[in-house]
This record gives sequence, C-alpha cells and structure tokens, in this order.
Amino acid sequence: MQQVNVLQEYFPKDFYGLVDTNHLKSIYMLPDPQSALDHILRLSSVNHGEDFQTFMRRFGTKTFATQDDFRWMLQAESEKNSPLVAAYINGTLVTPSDQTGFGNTEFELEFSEPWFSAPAQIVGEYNEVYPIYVKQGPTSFGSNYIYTCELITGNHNLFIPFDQLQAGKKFSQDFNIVETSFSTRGGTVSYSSPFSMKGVFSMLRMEDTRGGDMINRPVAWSWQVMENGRPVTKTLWDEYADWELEQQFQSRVNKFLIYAKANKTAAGTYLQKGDSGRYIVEGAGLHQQMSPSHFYSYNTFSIPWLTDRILSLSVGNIPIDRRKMMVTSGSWGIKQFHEALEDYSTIWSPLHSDLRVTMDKNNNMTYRGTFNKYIGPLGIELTVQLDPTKDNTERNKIMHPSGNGVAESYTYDILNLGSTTDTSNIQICYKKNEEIIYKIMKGLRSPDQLSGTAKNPEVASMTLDAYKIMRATTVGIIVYNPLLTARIVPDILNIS
Amino acid sequence: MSEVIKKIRCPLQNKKVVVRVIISDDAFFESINKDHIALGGYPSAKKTFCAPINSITNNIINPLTADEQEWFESSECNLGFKPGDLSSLKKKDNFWSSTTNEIVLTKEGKTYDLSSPEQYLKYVILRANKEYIAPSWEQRYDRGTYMFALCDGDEDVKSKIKKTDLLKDAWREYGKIDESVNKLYDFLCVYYIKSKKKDITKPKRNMSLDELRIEVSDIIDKDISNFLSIIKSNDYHTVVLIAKSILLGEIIPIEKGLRYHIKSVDYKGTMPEIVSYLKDIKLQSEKLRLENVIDEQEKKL
Repeated sequence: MQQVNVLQEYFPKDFYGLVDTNHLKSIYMLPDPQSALDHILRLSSVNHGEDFQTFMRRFGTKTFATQDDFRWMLQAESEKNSPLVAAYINGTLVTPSDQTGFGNTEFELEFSEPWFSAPAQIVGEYNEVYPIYVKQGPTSFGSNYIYTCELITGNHNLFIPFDQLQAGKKFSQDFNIVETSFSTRGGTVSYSSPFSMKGVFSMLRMEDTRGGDMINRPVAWSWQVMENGRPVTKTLWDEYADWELEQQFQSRVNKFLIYAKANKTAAGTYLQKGDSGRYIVEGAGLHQQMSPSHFYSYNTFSIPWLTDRILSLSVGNIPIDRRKMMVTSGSWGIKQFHEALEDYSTIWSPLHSDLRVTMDKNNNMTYRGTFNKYIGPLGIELTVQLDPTKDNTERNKIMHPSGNGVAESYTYDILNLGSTTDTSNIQICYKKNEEIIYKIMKGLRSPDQLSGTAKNPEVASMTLDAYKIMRATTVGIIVYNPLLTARIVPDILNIS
Repeated sequence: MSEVIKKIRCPLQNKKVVVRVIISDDAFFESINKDHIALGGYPSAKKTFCAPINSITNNIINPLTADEQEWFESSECNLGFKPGDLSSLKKKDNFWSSTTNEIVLTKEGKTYDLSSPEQYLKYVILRANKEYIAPSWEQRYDRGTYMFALCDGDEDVKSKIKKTDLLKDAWREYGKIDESVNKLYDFLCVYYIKSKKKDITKPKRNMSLDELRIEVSDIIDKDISNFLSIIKSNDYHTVVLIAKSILLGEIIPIEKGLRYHIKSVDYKGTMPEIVSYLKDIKLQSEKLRLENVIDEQEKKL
C-alpha cells in the first residue's frame, strides 16, 4: 500500500485467522508508552449507513419453523389474449382469396388453449371493426381447440381480411352476449392457474479462534461504540475482535442476501459438497430473484426517461394509488437523481424561491436542499434511499468512467416493497431461533472463565489454550412478486 | 482536376436477425418446473438496451462503423440524416442517447429485417451491447452476462431444436406400435377421423404391416404434432374405440364433425364429451357393446 503522506509511520498489514501477541507486536498494536494515538481511524469505511438487513427489517421479517424449502404462489392475470393457430372455412384453411365471414357465413378459428367459451364475442387486433360471435366451442382438435364463429354485424359486406387471420394474431374476449329471452347458456369463467415459486434456506457461518494470552489484552488504541445510546470507549483486543467478527459477519450476510446465486441444477440437485460430505445449498439472493423481471440500461439519465420506465413497470401491474416506490442507489446515483430532478424542475418553474439560500448572523451563506423524492404522473411517487453496498469499493471493482465512484453506485434498484396487501413484497426470512447463532468453545482459557477449583473444575471443550467464537445464521430472502421490481444500470462497455 | 467521387457502400443486407432470450442452465426456476413461467424472464418483463458508454472515455460508443454512419447520413439512405447527425459525441439531440433511442426486448425476442434502414439502426444498438448480447447462438454461454443472442433469421434455432425434440419423441412412440398391424391400424383410424385434411384416405383392414408402417411414418414426416397429440393422449384407447365406431357407422359425426351422435343410446356431444361418456363406469354396457360390434366386424374381414 502506498504511503498516505510523510507523517505515516507504519504500513497497514492484512492478516486473518489466529492472532497472538506476536502478531500485534509485529504491527505495533501493543501498548507503547510513547504512542500518541488515542483512537483508530479507518482509511476507508463501508460502514457509513443503514445496512441492507436493518433497512429490510423495517418491512418485517418472516420466520419458518423448519429449514425446508419454502414455496409461494403467484397468480397470472385471468384476462389475456390468445394467439390464433389457424382459420378455416368449412374445414379448409383460409387462403388470400377468401372473404372470411362475408355475408355472415360461418368460419372456424383454431387456438392452442380453450380460453374462450361459446357464446362469446371475441375480437382480433382491430377489435370491434371485426366483431366475432363464437357459436360453438371449444371443441378439441388434436392438441388444439376449434371454435365455430361468424361476424356479429348487420353489414353483410364485412369480412375479415386474410392478413388478420394469420397464425400468431392475438384474439381476446369482449363479452358474452345471448338472446334477450329464453337463453339456455352463457359464457363461462376463464381461470389462470397460479404458478409456484420456491426459495431455500442457506446456512452462513464464520468462526474466530483466539489464544488464551489475548484475553483482556489491552491494545495501543481505543475506539468508541454505542451501548444503550451512549458512546463507550473500548481498549481490549477481544472486544475489538468481537466487533470485527460481527461487522464482517453482518456484511457477509448482507452480501448473501443481495448477491447470492442459487446453485441448484435444472434437475433440482446440488453439486457442491462441504467437508462433511453433505451438500452446500445456496439460495437465490435479491438480484437473482429480480433478474427475470425488468432490466433497464441507460447512457443518459433523465427524469422523463425514468418516468417512462416506472410507468411501463406500473401500468397493468400496480394500482394507481399504490405506485409509491422505493428506489435504492449508491451515493453517486443519488447525486445523479438529485441533479436530474433539479434540471427537470427548472424546466417548469425557475427556482426563484430563497428557501435554498440561508445566511447566518456572521454573513456566512449556505446553499441547501437535496431532491430525493419525485411525484410524477399517474400516481408515481419515488423516494430514493441510499444503499451503501452500491458504494462499496471492495466488492464493486469496475469504476464509473466519469472517475467518480464505482459503476454500481449509479445503479438503481426499484423495490416496490409495500404493494402486496398484508406483507412487504420483499422479506428476509430466518429459521425459527436461528436468526442469531452465537456460540463459544472454551479451551484452557476463555474470556468468561470461572475460578475453577480442584473440587469444582470448570468444563473445557478442548485442550488448546484458546477459545473459539462461532457465528452463524440460517437465512433466505423472498421476493414475492419480482414483477414489482426493476434494475436500472448504466450501460458501460468495458474497453480494455 | 477531376473530383474523385467516393462510392458509399450500403450496409443493408437481405437477411433477418432474430434476437433470442438465453435460458441459463443454472436457472433456478427450472428446478421447480421445466415450463416455469419465469424461465428466461416473466412474459411481461422488459429488458431495455441502448448504445453503451465507453469505460475509458465516458462517451457514448457509436454503434455504427464509420462507413455505416457515412451511408446513413447520405442522401442514398433517405432517412433524412445530415452529416454529423449520427455522431455519438453530440452534446444535444444525440441520436444514441437512451432517452431517445433504446431497444425494448421481452423473452419473446424480436426479429430485425436488415434490409430496412430503420431496423438496421435498431440492430446495431444490440450488436454494440457486447456485455449483454451474444453475437451468435453458439456463443451464448461464452459470457455470464449475456441475456440474449443474435441469431441468423434464416436458421430458426428455436424451431430446429423443437423439431429435433419432437422427432425424437415421435420415433420413440412409433417404436411402441410399429411391430403390430392392429396397433398401426388403430392409429390410422384415429388419425383419419381427427384429421380435417381432405387428402387422407380411409385405412383398410387388409393393409400389410409394411403398408401400415409407410402410412404412419409419412404422417410423422408431414404432421408430427398431430401424430404426437393423438398417440400420447391419455384417452387414446377410448378414442380408438370411437374412431372405429365412426368408421362402422355406430357413431355419426354431426355439425360438420364438431359433435358426434351415438345412435344406439341417442347421446350427442363433442369428442371430449363422448370420451367421458364411454369412460363413465356406470355406462360401460355401451362401451362393451361397441367393442363387440368392432370385434365381430373385424372377424368377418
């Protein structure tokens, strides 16, 4: 690592695993009467905001009794259009010279599914220009279904052009019209079967072994943590190690929840085995579960463009009164959003307001105000929330070509969190009683050792003069309806 | 001095390019169901692509080559572009900005006619998206970031794969009946009744095994989907009974063959309704009667 400046006395060293006194001596972390350091400062910190788990817990978590796979069902729309397979007149395929339906004559339409039922009025791409009355059907025809139809019109000269009866042309049901009295049948209800989604639990585990000589070992520096709302100064190595373990564990759980890629094969099996010979099960994280949904790339960011994207995600999917969406982004993405909104707002009304400029009694002037919420047309309401993981320079290695931040910082995740009726659309789930697994394995010496005596010895779990901290959780994430989410990414082509 | 007139080469081609979605082998939805709706993306999910940004210069990359740009900005192209209009470095009204020009794809994919200048300009945006769009179907697994592949429209990969699968399935089913005169004849009876094609001849009971084999293999060649839908039907044996009864006049097609009439019990219904009727455990006497009539008739031949 490069020297920050000439005042830097030591170079940082990275190490992992077992740490003993010699390690600390080698990196100048043992007390030194001449040391001028009181508190340690981190050169780069990713701990600069609310983390993913904390953020998501605001919307509730889900707990399952067992570690088995969990399923949820999604329902497709019960109204849809169906593509035409073929059209016939008296059982013969229509040809370009045919005037299908001319003079209210019968013709047959073939579809791959029995979506309509006679009596019904269906329409093709030109809708009511060629209203079709379904007289009979569905009748099974090979693997498809045939409907006997005629044009429902008083115009005897009307016929359906050949180009409107090509395979793939879409037809939809309008209504079920019957005779005004003595009718004997009506149209039936169309159902769309729900489809199943499945998630799995994964177990994440970390551990740290510390030598007996490290218990209550003071170090040359101190740091402050908040305990019961008050800053408390810590100076012991094991306290620091506990804090570091928990920070890194939470960070890795966050990464799992966002970035994990399921390792299940198409056959439903797993391939990777651990030391025990049993399978390693990795469930799908947030991004993989969002991946079959919307993906928008951009090279120019603007509010009208974003509005179009949000509308295309919302129309037909989200009721107009529920289009309040959370957009998470990195710091640079939020800045970009702010600037785009500022540009957009000045189009409509130059900001003559003096609210953004303040002056104190010493004539110091301040310009203030960040745009982080946008209320657009048709009920769209966007609130931008900082996602610190997007600014993480350790994981996100590709820099944005502007030179400001990493490319990931410019991505936007649209998380429609609250659109389902009784629960958040995205939830972290835990196995019951396994959200926090924290265990200690005691050796000859351990941090909470009792004064064992010959008559009443304390039990140790290993002969080693050390103790081991084990941290684990059984966790997964559910995106109930991925279609209510989207990823917006800058379209950067890596030129090497 | 004579002026040298440079001939601008037209980039348009008389071919089509199909953009196809790539279904990853590790697709976790497939492990739930191989026909899962989310496989390859939800049907209504949109993926948009624009001209990418150069990771070094931070400028939009021009998806056109210099020659292509020159042609599109010439009078020969006739899209109204003037020299410089298609530059990707323009600060205002940049044609390649995602706010004005982007491609929207769904899992259904899309076909681009490269003889159309407008469609060619769309195609080049996809061609430039080397992170997300594979240059060919064969290269679709070369990068983990690929979402779609550009395929030669003349080689309809999807239909080729589908046809191969169907053929494999069909010949497997054929193998189950090709040693039996009765089984081949049964199939031809059903095919004759179910097919609406006018050039199908009625099967004869005295056809030899080879003749029957040729007839059925011809159907696999020409009408594979109907062959499979018939032979793999759960009600196949009941449908055979119905087809043979129709040929003997015990069941009569009515209303242009959309419904059928069992004469002896005066029952009318569509094919699924007739099947249900004959499978009804309480009405087995009619099924047995029809089987007897068919047996008697076949013994006479």
